[in-house]
Amino acid sequence: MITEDDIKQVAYMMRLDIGDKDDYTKKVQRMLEYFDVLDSAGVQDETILVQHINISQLRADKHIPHDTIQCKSQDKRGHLRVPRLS
Amino acid sequence: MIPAQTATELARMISSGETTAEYVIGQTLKQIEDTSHLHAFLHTNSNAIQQAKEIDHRIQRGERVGRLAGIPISIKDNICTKQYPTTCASYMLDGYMPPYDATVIRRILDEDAIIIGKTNMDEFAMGLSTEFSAYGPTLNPHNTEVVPGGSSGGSAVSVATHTSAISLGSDTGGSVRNPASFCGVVGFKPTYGMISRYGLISYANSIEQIGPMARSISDIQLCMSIVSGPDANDNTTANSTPVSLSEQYHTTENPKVGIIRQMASKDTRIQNILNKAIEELSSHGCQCDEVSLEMVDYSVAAYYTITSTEVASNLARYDNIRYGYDMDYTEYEYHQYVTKARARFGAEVKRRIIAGGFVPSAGYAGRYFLKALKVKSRLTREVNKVFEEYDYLISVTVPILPFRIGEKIDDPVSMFLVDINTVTANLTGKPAISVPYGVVDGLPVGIQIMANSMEDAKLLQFSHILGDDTQ
Repeated sequence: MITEDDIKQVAYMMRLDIGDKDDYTKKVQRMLEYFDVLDSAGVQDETILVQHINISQLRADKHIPHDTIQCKSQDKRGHLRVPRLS
Repeated sequence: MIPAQTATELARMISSGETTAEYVIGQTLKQIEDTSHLHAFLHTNSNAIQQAKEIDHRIQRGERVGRLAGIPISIKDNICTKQYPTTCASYMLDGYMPPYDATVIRRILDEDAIIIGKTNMDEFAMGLSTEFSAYGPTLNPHNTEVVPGGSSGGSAVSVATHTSAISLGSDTGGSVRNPASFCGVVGFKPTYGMISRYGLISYANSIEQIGPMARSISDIQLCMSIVSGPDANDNTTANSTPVSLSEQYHTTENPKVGIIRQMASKDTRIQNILNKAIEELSSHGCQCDEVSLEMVDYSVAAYYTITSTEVASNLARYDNIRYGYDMDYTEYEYHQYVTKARARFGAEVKRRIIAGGFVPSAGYAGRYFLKALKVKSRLTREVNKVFEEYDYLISVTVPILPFRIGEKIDDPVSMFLVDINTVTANLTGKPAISVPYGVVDGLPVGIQIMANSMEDAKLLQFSHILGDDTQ
């Protein structure tokens, strides 16, 4: 059973501030309980299908120029100011 | 009334001079005003009339115009448009102006379509009733007390109320087909990789697709012939062949149609509409038999496990630094700042992010995420096996009627189960269409037909049997 503390911990890691924890706990618990139906699917031995894509097929990892994004925290040189990392 | 015509007919009328783009767009804008209580739109195009006039001038000068010249098209608000805000119906992206157009937008603008507005949706496409929009719900035009379906609810309502001839939505678990069924229009989810997702704001990118909605199957074909096909910006489109309008696709003389047992509706009134569709297919020489897909019973749980995982990953980028709104960053350290900024996500989005944090995590992955991937794999094998014998699979699109606004909002699982008939096409990557086919208690009921991968054009051609006119 997922507890309120578990929900709080995951919400913290996901950088979410959850006001009414009770509501989140109940509804997320209900979702996860429903996901338990997967236990009866009998797929333990199933091989997971994956598509392999060669890295050479991927789009080149290069900068695509776009118009400058406007925001208030931009200085004259076009740099963005962001909160302090700590 | 002119805007009630299909896109195909409007395009003919405008390019032949029988009517003008300015008149069509003017009437459409008036219709948007008259139906504003339904809340289908989040933004409308204030330059639409000017753009229409320019198209009329080009036609008058004898210049070549595109195949969508002067056609009003609405766009779900999770598809990037450089000229118009793109909010995903979330306060998190309030006022966001993308710096580029999605590939589908470039392609329809190259054909001189007029983007009439951006449509309401469940926040970040998470929902199937459009009740989870941060800007308030969209109402069903057939009965304003019930939901229009979702998450592309605004798109379906705009097509149903003639405020656009075509709308582009996105379908992750039925988000095009479900509202199409609830609002009585045609909705199409193409094969995964058939339409570029470049510029579609990601929710669960391993299974979602952009899909068109319209008032006729011919309009879906017209739209698909323009927006489908490879795009260098989306590697998953690499092997797709654009839908051709001119080609007649070979179909077997007596196509075999599988009726999916697990997708039967418990509502006999809805099931009777399916039976009527089966009779019609049989009268056209189709051989219809019941087929079984055992994994359908587990598909909704697998779908929500996989999508929650992708949501947690895809929405991690909303730290209000790379995307977001202006919020003073002083007095906060990084974690506090991002957490404070992300408070703008709605409750449903937060719940799915939290669930998505659990299901792939150490200690839980084997129980949830990996098992969901195994169900997805088994379901794909089952469906592929059935397609060795059958040409098409049929069911009702949604096994229940549109429900009352607020009826399911507090019970996430009851809401999830509305997706039972639509998620299979997403989990297996197959194309599926919803065609309006009946009415119960004044509310439309759609029939879903699914085909094998890359048989989109054949499926669209076949769907005409169930009727091309939704008027």
